[in-house]
Amino acid sequence: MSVTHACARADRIRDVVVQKNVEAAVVGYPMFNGLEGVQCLHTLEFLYEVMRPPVSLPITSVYLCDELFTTQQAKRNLDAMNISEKNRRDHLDHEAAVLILQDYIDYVVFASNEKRFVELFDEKKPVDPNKRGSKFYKKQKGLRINESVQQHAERLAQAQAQSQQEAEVIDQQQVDQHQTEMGTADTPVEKAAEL
Amino acid sequence: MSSTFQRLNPHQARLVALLKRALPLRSRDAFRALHPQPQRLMALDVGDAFVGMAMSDKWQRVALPFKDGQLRRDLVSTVESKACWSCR
Repeated sequence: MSVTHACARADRIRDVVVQKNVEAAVVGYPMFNGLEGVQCLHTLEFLYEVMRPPVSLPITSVYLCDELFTTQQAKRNLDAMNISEKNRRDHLDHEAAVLILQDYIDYVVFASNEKRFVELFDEKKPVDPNKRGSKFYKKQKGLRINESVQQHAERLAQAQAQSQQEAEVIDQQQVDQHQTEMGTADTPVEKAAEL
Repeated sequence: MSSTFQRLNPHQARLVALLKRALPLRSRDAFRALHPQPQRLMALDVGDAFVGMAMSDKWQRVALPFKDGQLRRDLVSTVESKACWSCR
């Protein structure tokens, strides 16, 4: 990479950054299995050339994005778009940059949006049953209009306790009936002892 | 990325460490914590001969290819397909 060539490109990028008021930059960092190669050094050198201290740019932060085989993927994309071999060299790096940025946006922005989406449409979210028009309001016919959620919960708990008591009583009755049928002995061991 | 991988020698490794310290590098998760998040994102792919550039739209949903500060209209088919995908 010649120095003059790099400087010329850096100048062009600096102009665009100022013109478009770019605040953050994502840079493809070509690591191979977690190892940094000479290409990584070239990337950092170029980046330093762009962000040289005497020049004040609006960029406040730089994010390095691990790019591996993005150029190959870009080639495949351009093949699919039927772009000629002649123009492909021009488009290749731009397409690779698009892939890097899209990957970054998907990771950063969409992941956070997905979380927000889940929160918004979570069915377990408590719903006020007193709210007119809500599904709860329509389904639960026995619910009074002015009854608060807490009162409703208390009433439900009472009903549950009552039904549990009734079930216990029924069980006890069944046990008593069984014992009278089998005789006075409570357990098979006592029955054997009597014999 | 070039097809052949060349390891860094100790001198180059030291240079990489120095450059990393000089640049305002952040982690990906640090981006999420930013309030407000940056409106314009730019991506650079430093190749052997050219530098590819892409920029995000103002809603930060789609990456658009740029050259000399202009949107590449000849790559608009991919842009459209991606835009549709994000709108869905």
